[in-house]
Amino acid sequence: MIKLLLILLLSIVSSASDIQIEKKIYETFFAALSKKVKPSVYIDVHIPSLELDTDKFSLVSSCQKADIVIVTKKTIDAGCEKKIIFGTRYRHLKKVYVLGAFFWQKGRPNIVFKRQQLDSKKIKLPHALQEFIE
Amino acid sequence: MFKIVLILLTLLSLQADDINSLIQDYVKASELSNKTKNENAGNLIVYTRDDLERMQALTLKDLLKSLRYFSYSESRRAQSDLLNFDSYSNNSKGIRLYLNNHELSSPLHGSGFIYFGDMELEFIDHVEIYTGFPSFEFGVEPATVVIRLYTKDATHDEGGKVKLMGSDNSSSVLSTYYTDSFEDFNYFAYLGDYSNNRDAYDYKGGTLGRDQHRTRFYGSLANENHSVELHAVQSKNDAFMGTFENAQVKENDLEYSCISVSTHSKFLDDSLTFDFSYVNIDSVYDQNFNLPDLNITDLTANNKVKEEGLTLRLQKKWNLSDNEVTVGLQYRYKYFDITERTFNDKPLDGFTQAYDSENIFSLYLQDLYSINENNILSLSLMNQFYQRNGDVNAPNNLQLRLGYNYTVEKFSAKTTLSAQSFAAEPYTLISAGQSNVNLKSESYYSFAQELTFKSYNTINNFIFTYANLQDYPIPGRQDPNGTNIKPRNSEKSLDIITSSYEFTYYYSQKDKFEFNLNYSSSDSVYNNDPAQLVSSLLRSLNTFGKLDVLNELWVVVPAYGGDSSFDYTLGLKYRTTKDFSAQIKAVNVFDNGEKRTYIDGSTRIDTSIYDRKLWIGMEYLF
Repeated sequence: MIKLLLILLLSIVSSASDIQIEKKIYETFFAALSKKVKPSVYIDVHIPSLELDTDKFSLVSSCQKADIVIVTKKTIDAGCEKKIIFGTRYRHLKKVYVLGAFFWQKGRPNIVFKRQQLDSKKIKLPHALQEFIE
Repeated sequence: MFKIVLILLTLLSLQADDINSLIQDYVKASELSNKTKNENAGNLIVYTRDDLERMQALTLKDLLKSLRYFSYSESRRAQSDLLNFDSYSNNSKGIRLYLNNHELSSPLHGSGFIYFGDMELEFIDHVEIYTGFPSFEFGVEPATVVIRLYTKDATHDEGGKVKLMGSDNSSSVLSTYYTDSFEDFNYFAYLGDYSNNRDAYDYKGGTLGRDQHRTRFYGSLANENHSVELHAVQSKNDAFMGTFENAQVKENDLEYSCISVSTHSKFLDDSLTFDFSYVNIDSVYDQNFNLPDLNITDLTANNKVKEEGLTLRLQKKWNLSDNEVTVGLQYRYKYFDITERTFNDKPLDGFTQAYDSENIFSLYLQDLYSINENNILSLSLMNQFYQRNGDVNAPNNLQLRLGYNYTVEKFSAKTTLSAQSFAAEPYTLISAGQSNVNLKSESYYSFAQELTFKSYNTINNFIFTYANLQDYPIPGRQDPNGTNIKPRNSEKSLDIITSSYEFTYYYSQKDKFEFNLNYSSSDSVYNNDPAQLVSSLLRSLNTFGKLDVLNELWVVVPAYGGDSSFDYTLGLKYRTTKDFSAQIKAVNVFDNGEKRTYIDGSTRIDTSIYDRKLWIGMEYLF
């Protein structure tokens, strides 16, 4: 019985798809960046992992209404630059208003949080994410 | 007791939620994501990027070495040939090799395997190999094996890489790529130089060499729905024994240059795709040799071949309730010219080729019918119409494939029945003296059964196939007296049986052990004894901190007797930082690897397919 339960759990963890795990990673970020139980998130293009059902965040249709903005393009509306803005490419980190990014580079996923932006927004990351602060 | 279980479950779930564990799971799942693989399309083998990197796979040959029941081989001209029943000829016309969405084809030989069968893999992200007469959706013409190579791109690889490797016998690899993305498009550019010095053999006072040197460029430019690719290769290799029997080889050189341009476009939520590709291949084959048995010296032969091909493909998919219907229209134009040839510096005026171009029109229809969530039926029909501009056999071939997949969480069964006809390729119809314009298509009637059992850390896979082959084209050749023997269709019906057992054990996230046992039996057109081959693979991929370790043993008990071979390969890759790694790979360590036997006149020559070699190198990501 015990063995069966263990096998079942391991199967569930090991069989998660890449977009399910990606969603879980984003949920970890959102929980760390927002004090709300269910923050509102804006995405400027189709991102499959963030469109899966979840009770950890909700998608909104404009960046003005969002607590957290996920950027995939070069620019965002000027009125949203003071939000918590998270990038999906390395180059997004060069924008002053971007707080961090989760992106693929050199064949591996990378996570970066910018200390200056965290400090200015008075966000203290949990211990598990502090190794990604630059 | 249940409290303990709950604590264990909680610990496990906490571990899974730890961000670094999540990232590791994410990398693994991204590699295995079913973005491209298609379980209905055939008996599938996937080499993920992680596999390729930890196996230190330099060329495609490193993967095909241990392919279930097939084994990489080479012709008398040292060109790649997977189904090498007879070394005089290229037998791999059913092996379809793809770079992303485009077939690497040779208009003259059909399959481009002859040119690309051991291509470098540094710009390749992952590889899928479909065996067991795969789905028709892949190509203009039918296939026995489909090999799909997917290139790296900016989505996951922004940045660049430099790789340098050298071996104990002065072989070398130097390659670099860079990829980046902008607002609406991304690009990838690769340049590689591969020099492989191989064991040579003394024969009749001459030397049979197989050294290779290649320079390759690959570039792509893509946005969300459209991509354009450029692939260019310049290659020069020693052509080993050449085509003349009992020759004392003084020099044998085979050079080719290939350039291909292709595009891929998606419309209507990806349900409509359009592909275009153009390929141009020029090759030159120079031979200088003596015929000591006939006391003839200093003969020269020079053959130039020009090939040109154009492929257009339009495919539409409809999702209709329980049916996924696919219709494909394909067109291929082939041009080939082998008339430019000299013997002892004099043009062969008497030679004219029977035809120099052909059009292939191909239409296919496939229905994937989901009976319920566990049962899928697939029915595929394909028809090719050949137009050949000469008095040669131009077939009209109908292909049929019926598949049934049963899948539950830990078990799947895949059954396939197919009837396929492979048209004779142009070179067998037009080669100088060794061709037959009336050569018919060869036909396969096959049954394949695959059973897969999965647990959370093991996969057990059983595959059995039976094929009956009709009208096998017995290759043409030149006998020791210089008489040309034309190729002809065999009147004998040939039975081919293959079976495999494959076991994979994942004993941690980065450690896996693989064991394969393969058996095949093929009737021969030359004698009444079927060629029975047994092979086995034991491979372990481990990661200890920053060190990746490959241990691989490939054992072959050859057809028609002879000593068994044991090819042991050891690879070590140490990542000093995230961006820099040093590596060592020792191939065929005990110099007892698989042999290829060539019969020349009455002489038997055994050569290594994989030479003993020690590679040392480094990689730097920037």
